[in-house]
Amino acid sequence: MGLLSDPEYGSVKWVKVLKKINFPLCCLCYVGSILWFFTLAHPEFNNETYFSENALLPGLVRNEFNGEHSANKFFNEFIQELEDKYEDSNEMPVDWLVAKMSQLSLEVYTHNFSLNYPFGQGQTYKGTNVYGILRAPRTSSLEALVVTAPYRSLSNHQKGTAAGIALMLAFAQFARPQNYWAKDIIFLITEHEQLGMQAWLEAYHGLQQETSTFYTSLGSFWQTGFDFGKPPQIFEWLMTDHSKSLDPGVLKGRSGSIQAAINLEFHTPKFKYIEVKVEGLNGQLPNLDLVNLAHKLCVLSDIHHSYQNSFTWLRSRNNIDEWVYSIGTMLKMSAAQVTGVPNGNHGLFLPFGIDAITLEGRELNDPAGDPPRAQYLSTRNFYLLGITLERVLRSLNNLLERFHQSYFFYMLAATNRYISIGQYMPSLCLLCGAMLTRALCLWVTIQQDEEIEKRQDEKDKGLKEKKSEEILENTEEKADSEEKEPLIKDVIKPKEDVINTKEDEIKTNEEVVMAKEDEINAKKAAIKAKNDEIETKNGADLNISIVNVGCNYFLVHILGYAANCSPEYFNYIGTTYFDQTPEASIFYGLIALSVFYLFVTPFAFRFPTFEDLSMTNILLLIELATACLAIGMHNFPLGLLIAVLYTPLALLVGVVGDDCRKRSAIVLFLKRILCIILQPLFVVSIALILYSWVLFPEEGVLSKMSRGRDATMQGVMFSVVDSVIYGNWLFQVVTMVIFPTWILFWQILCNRVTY
Amino acid sequence: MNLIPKYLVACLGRYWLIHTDYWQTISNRVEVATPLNSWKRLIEGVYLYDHGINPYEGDSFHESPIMLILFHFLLKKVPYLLPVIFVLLDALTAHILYKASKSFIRIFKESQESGKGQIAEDSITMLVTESQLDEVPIYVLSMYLFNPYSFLNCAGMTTTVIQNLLLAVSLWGAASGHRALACVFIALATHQALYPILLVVPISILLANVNQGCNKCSYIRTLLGFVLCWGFCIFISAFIMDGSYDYIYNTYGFILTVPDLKPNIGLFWYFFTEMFEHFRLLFVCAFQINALALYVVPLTLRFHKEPVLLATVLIALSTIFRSYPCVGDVGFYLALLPLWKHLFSFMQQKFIVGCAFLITSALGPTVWHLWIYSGSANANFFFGVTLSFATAQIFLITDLLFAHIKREFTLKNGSSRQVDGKPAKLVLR
Repeated sequence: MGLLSDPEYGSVKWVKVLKKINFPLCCLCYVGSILWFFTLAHPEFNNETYFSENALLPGLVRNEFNGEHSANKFFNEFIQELEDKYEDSNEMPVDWLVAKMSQLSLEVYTHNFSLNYPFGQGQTYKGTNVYGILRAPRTSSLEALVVTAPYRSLSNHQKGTAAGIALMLAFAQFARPQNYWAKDIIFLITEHEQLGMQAWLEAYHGLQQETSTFYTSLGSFWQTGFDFGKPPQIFEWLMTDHSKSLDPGVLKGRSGSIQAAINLEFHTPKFKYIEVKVEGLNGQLPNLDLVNLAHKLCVLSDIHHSYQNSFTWLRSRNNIDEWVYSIGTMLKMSAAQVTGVPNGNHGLFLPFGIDAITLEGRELNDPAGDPPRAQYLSTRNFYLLGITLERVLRSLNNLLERFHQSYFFYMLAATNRYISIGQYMPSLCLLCGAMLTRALCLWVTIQQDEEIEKRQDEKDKGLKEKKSEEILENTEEKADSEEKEPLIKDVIKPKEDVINTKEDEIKTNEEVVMAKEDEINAKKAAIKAKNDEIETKNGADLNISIVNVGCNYFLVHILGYAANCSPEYFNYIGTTYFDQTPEASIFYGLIALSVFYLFVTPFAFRFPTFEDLSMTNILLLIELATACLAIGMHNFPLGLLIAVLYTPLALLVGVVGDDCRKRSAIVLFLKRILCIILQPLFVVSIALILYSWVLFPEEGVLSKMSRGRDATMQGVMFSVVDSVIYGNWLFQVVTMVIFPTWILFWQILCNRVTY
Repeated sequence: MNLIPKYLVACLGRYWLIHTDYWQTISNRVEVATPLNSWKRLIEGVYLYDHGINPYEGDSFHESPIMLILFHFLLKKVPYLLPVIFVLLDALTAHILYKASKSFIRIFKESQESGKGQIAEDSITMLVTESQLDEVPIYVLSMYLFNPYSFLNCAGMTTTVIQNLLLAVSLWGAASGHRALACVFIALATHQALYPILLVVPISILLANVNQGCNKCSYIRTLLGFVLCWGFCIFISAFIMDGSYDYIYNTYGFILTVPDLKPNIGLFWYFFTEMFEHFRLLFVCAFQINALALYVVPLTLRFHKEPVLLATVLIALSTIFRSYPCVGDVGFYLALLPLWKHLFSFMQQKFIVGCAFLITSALGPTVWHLWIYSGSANANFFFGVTLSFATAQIFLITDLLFAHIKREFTLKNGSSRQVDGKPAKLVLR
């Protein structure tokens, strides 16, 4: 058990080495981590995708799809219908869709949902989804596949999805008479984009409105209590869920458990290439097998396809070019994942454990921008798309169980190259390792200091005891000499008096000695008391340190929680008293809160000592490292981004001493500036201002700034609303984890202590 | 008294947590609620019992019949008071731990006084001073009251709250020399969860030390008292179940044979899901011996002079290796650690253990979510985290023991550690 051996021997050595190399080591970890991340994009360091699930049997069937004509017909009719009746309205042509689906003899249902918008003046939005179920002839509706398309009206600023809906209907017409379906197929058209999708999924899975509380768990025992036993009003108020704003309603018809879903977003039948979108809510990804399936079947159907920055028609022999493209793809994928907002309706399936992807058709002059040489691509049509969809669905139809074989945690470097969790995790672990190393170094420093202090204390005590002993000896000697003096006098005095006086004097002397002894005792007691005092002080210091650090830590996290809950109140205050939009009131409210925290929190830590602050620093580093790891498990890019942003700060922040040299003052000032820049809201604002700088380079500085401000406002609002409606974690993570750690950093930088 | 605010804050915090929306989540977490102690199963069992169905016939209820009628009574009479009762019981546990640690400190002082003669000269300063010792009970109290593990345990309303109370009372009884009290409560605890049977050893040593006199007689008396009480508990339970002893298969049998492999923070479930059925008996025996018998004898031989340390370590080990552990158990033995504050400076892995506790506590729920809700991770991730949690705990225990030995050695031989003028190295073998 080498680990458990007595480490005092030789431990000094590694502590010294650690102290010496800790900073360069951490910096090395930081640089290494970033290099590692970019190296992964190189084809040498990632892998070719492959099918892990044998049951998929992709592309083995002969294509039978023959619905190109009817797809075109549906498309024209649908456009006609929209132009005739729904030109100006945002409503969905529910009747038309229901009629068409019924004609195809699907089981058609509509699904109503409503949203009580949690911000603003409490508007209510209503919406309707239409879905038709194709019952599988082979089984009894135990499993299902979903083909879905969002509905977008003509006046919508986004690309329409009419072609997708038409293709879906044509495919339903084709698939209805086939006898090989082993899973139901649900054809779903959702209104209000992701809102409709979320409502449908919640309704399909029967997510209950009310959460069960202790009192509801009592069940029938509840009735037997006395009357006063009912929970007071306040508990009922506490128990009701205020955050629930989406009412998913009920579904009239259901199928089995959903195995996979394909979301179609096609504007016109004439598209150049397909973009396969995978990023879901909170950065979750579908199983790699499904993504791979889509890409491989596109290849088989001779359709150009792409993923982020990776285009299949652009293949270079040059490794460096490939690398640059791959880096672009990885960064774009990371950017899409970081916000946690799904980039298509497929993303909402993922939290329910359903793998889903979006196929988006792109033509020239797409809002997403034209890739190089896209104009030379020949356009594709409904036929090719139809057989692709048929192939995908028939492969999914073969599935024996849910996707479980391949990776759920991966990054894509190209349409056909992936990086697995084992390959990308080291870059995050290196950053967390750097933080933990720094924490270890601080810990070792405190330990040593404590030991030194203890030794000094002991020495002091020893000295004092010696001194007190000396004092004692001195006084005793004095007493002795005083005793002797009278004796000498006695000799001179007449002998007759001697005896009496001697006795008397001896008595008085004895008294004097007694008194002296008392004095000495008192002194001893005083010294003891002093020693005790020192001891209690030591004890008290330690005691305070725990309570102080703990309370401060707790308080800071409460502040984070308060920030998390604040938007509701800011919205209320802003809209009722200042007549502002919810966006503005929340944004300015958060700014006010940040400024308030900025000035107040340094004083929240009362009478800190060096150990207190060091301990806080250690805990902070461990917390940040843990948080980054835990976040990185869910959403790797977000975890990595947080780690990359905050590791430098974590490495630079240290307890500030009392010495006021000029150089250290400047360094401290720079550190504080860095800390303020890294304030979460500030980071977001800067990032979005820079983004608008890039997006609108031709505009003036002020208008760029205002665009950046508006973008930040919108961004903050989106993250708040998403967290309420869809369960996006970004806002929670930032306010409840990142913000408190930032406050702690700020506290450490703003407090000066004596060593 | 600065204790009252502490109790107040801790109680209010727990009470508040029970009444939030998080209650359901907490009480269903696998880390908090196991098949043995979960509130859901308890109420299910009581409901069945209330309707005249034997709850032990099914597979849902595994608490002891004494708990069954206790909670039947409570649920029938005062269901609305149950949160208060749970919170108060937890506060009571904390208070009794406080009392017990005071007694432990007294014992510690006595043994330090009596052992002063054998201490090397330059180690005198290492002796623990009065003022340091007097703080310890407050630390124990705070550690129990504000430990997130015990917080969650109480908020989840598991029967481990009662288990902890029983253990605390028996420790307190032993430390203050009340043999009857210690025997009764250790028997009750054993009746509820079986594993506290290990504590009979340190408790009998402790009682013999405190009461002084004939050691062997004392051991025998304690053991006899324990066996009688335990037997009585078993009999009473059978009496409650209309004279049938079938409940034993669903309580002790359930604990010993581990039929329910729902994941928890222990080491059993993963191993036995992977196990071929015909090796099951062998490995169940191996695992249970590891949890129940393996460590008692060697540790007792080595630490019979330190029954309190022995008790702490045995509680911790049985928590780590038991078949259905939960964070409430972990919180209980963590509360006993401040008793060994003077050993902390001898411990080497504080940082590693602390980091491991923090990281695994955060990553556990994370990977659980990924496995169960997102469906993207799998059991291996969660098991990996629980395994490292268990490893961290084992490190903590071995480190504590080794620190004790090191301190003992240093006290006896002085702090300079040299053999023939060269620095020597202590190795734990």
